[in-house]
Amino acid sequence: MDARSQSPRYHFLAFPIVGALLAALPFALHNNYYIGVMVFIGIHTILALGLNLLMGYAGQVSLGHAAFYGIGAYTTAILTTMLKWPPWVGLACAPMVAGLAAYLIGMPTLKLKGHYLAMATLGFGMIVKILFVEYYPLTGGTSGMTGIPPLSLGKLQLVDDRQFYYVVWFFALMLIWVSYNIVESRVGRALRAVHTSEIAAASVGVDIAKYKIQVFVLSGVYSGLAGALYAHYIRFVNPDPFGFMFSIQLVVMVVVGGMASIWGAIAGASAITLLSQVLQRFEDYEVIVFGAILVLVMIYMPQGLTKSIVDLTARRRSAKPSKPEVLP
Amino acid sequence: MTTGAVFLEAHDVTKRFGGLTAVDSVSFTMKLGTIKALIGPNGAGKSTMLNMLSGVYLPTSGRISVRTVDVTGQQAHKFVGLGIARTFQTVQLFGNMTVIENVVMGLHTKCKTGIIQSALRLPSVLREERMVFASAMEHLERVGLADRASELAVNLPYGQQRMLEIARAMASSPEMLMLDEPAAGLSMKETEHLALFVQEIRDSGIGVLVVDHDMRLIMDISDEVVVLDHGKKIAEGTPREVQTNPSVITAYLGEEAGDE
Ligand SMILES: Nc1ncnc2c1ncn2[C@@H]1O[C@H](COP(=O)(O)OP(=O)(O)O)[C@@H](O)[C@H]1O
Ligand SMILES: [Mg+2]
Repeated sequence: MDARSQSPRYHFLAFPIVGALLAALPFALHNNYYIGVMVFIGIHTILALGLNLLMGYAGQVSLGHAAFYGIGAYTTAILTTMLKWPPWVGLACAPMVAGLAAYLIGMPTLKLKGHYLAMATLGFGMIVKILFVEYYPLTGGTSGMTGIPPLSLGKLQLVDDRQFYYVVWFFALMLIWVSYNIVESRVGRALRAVHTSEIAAASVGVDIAKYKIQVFVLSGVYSGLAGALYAHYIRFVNPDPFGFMFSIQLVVMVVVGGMASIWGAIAGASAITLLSQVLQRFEDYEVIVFGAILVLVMIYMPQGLTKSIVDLTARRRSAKPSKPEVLP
Repeated sequence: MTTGAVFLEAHDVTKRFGGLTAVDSVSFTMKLGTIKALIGPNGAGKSTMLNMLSGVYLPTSGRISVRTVDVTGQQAHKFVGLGIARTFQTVQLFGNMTVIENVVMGLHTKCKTGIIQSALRLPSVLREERMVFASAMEHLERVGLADRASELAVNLPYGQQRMLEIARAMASSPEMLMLDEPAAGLSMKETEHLALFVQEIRDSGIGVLVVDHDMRLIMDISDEVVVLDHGKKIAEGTPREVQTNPSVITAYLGEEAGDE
């Protein structure tokens, strides 16, 4: 038997299945509004994946992840509108800049034991949002930046929602594959080891701080890419989407999807994205609802939505044959 | 590896926790191919000593050298690279991993796969995985746990968890192995098993530093004994010399010899 991992091969089987479903979905959705929602679910999946690696595997929380998302969006916006760089180059630079920002925040804080990263990112998120607003010549202030060019494939400009849908989900699935590879490797094992016993992990030579920083930078890179995709999809950026509220939504996505669950990122991103569509008209109460969800999920489904549902169906199935015995 | 060569030296090592001096100017040397026992009553400072020798604690004063190189103040994760592996007084396994994955963790520093290579699942990554799992299996065979390779480590009975922890430490091919109370909670039979295994490790040229309460085990297998009491080294010598040392008898053996 292959003793290598607890996670069976269906993870790899899931790729073609989920890929085929996602490829077919636009044909079933006739309303462009739903395609737009699916694009956002894709972008949020990328963000949740990165944050999930950080929370579920490095055991650290970021309360300012929206800032890296914003840095990605503004990076490509500035490069493609002011410097007229090609959109794909902007899209490639955005994750690097966001990753560098994560490195600069993570380097001093992740060397310390404890949850300094949460506080550092909280402050960082606020500062970045203020910079977006105040650094008018570069960012356009509160009115934002318009005229961001679309991505294109050869002569084809990807301005249509359906085209962009495929671009976003191509990246999302690729990053699911990448994240899964990392989790099921020497690096992933080291991270899981740190989670159970830091002292034992160090005793076998795991450089704890190094891995925490790497994962944080990686999650910054994911967020930067998500931000750039957002910018080339909406083709307009302003500071609003990149604030504290969205950072919290991201944390809720990860918790709802299930920490340390790669596929859970899609579930969490879908649930929260759809919910926030519904809640949009209650604006001010949104915060309360997300706070309540966070608390309820933590109490009743600490494993997250995906694992809880899987467990529930498994219990149903195993409960059936034993039923007659329970009857008097 | 040359049996008998000095591998590690502790020079006047002291550790204070606030007002408490847990280890007080202790010096000794560790040789390759030798079993050295560190004994003493509860709270004597044995675990604290081990923690300093493996980089978990920074000594308050004093020096630790490995092959005459000063390693005081090195971070804990660097000690494996120096050839030092260890186990813990309270078993510290990676409970949510399988038995074999625990041993694979012991091979961590022998592998090179980084985050980028693993992200892309390059062929070199898969080759390395196959190699480490095969090597881990051999280590499991040595402690008789090969048939439990794919179980979760938490599901092993206590005695097997202790052996697994040793297997994980041995996977890093150390030159020196430090065991903190390896026989605690083991049955008689398991203790005998352990004694044989530790001697086998010694005979392969590795230096073993073992802390334990089981006096019979210690006297049976060790070549040299260091006795700590209230953080101070009160005796050092062969098991026989130590057993007949009057200050040892009053400090430690006295309490327990009565009921043996
Ligand atoms: N991290 C710590 N903080 C404070 N005191 C400690 C710590 N570790 C050990 N001690 C104290 O140091 C003394 C020696 O402990 P220890 O080395 O665990 O003894 P032993 O292993 O010989 O039983 C004890 O009095 C213990 O309470
Ligand atoms: Mg102890």
